Amino acid sequence: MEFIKLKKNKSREMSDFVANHLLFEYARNTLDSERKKSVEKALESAPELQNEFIKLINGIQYCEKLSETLINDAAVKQIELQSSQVNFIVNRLRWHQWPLGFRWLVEAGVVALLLVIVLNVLPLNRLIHLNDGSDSQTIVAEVNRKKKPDLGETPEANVEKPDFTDEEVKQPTTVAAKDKTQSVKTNDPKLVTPSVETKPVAVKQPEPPPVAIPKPMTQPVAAVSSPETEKPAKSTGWIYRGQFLVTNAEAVSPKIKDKIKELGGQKAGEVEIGWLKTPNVYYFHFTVPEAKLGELEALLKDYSTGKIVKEAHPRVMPDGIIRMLFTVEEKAADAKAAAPEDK
Amino acid sequence: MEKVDLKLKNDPFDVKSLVRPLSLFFFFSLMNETKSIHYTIKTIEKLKKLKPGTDIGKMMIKIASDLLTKSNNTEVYITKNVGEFWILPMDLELGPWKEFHKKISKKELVSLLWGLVIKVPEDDITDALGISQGTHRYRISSALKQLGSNTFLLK
Repeated sequence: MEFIKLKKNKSREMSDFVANHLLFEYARNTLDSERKKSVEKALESAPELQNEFIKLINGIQYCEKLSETLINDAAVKQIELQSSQVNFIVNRLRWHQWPLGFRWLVEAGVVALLLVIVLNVLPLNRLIHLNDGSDSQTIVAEVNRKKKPDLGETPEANVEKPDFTDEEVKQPTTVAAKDKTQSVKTNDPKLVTPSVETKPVAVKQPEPPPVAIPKPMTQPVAAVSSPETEKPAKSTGWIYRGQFLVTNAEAVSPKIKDKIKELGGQKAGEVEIGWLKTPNVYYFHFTVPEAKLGELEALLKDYSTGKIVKEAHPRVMPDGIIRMLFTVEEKAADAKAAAPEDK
Repeated sequence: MEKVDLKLKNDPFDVKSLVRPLSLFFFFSLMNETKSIHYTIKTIEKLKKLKPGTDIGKMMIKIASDLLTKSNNTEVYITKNVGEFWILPMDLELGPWKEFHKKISKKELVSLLWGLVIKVPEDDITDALGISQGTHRYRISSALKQLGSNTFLLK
């Protein structure tokens, strides 16, 4: 094989750009002799290239120092131990060699266990009723109870299940409505006797001839409370009622609410404790430990002159727990409202 | 410093020979002791799952580099407990290295660490990373200039 002799051209000088890219290989001494000479020439002529070369050498020297870093035997052992522990457990179990049926059984057991844990730990009831609100259930119950007497087919049902409609502060209209229903019943000769016998409150009502009771609720409640307390045989439960007139109800009612909660009070009706029923009227319906009654009365006395009255109620509360229902109203607003009436 | 022997055998699996290059790689790339140990163990575990006969050396570079690429680089640098696990040279200042970390890309860092700090043969690195020799050298050269400029400024 013959080699063709090529003509030698004038030697071309290497540009700084090319020399810059060959600096690393020049530093490692891996360039051929011609390129090495060219890079050296470029280095002599260009000071910027010299700077780059110095940086490169500095970098190599720094890397040499880094490569001298040693690892402590303790670290090696720790890494070996940790890696082997994981491996050891996996190998020891030999999960993949287990019979298929047994593996499924174990998997099913684990899943069941996890489910039991999750269902026990998670407050699912709260989550489910989070968006429902507590209103819906109680409303349904009340509607059913009101409907039953309307049917009028079985008067015995009325006898056994008294109305719990006095969850709110008593109003004259409701009383009147009750009387109407009773007056309708009394017109029917068949129904007269059972209604009179069953309802303890209704015993008084047939005696006065007129039906309407026009007076406000607070006074009759106080009056009725004493005879009712004398007949605990039928009505075994109690409720504490009241109406408190305060100045600056907007500021006072949150304080009362906080105190009630502090005393362990919990809402008893559909609305929160201290619900703004109408402007300047705050509604408190809650349960509280009986032992805290004194404290609560003292607190209410600080702000108002109202009284708490104990009344009989068909709903029986657990031992040591009492149910309270009162309103906190703005005294000034009441006065204002009263003023035009006086005029 | 001797070059790392990459012709590791799979059977029996030699963990000791992998610990030093891997822990050094992760320590200097992450600058976090806990993380470097964690990633070293993770890499070793992955290597143990490889089929017998696989080139462990190349796979070590590949797996470790992939883990580094996926890791967060926003960790706080720590050096307070270096003495417990790593024995650094007496005259080594980690300041330029920390500064270098802020400016360099992960690809350049990987090439520099495997090539010049851990000193793995060039062919294994290029094979494992799937890059050409020229690219690898360019990355090292670029990284070295950056690192050198940091040490140059200090002097």
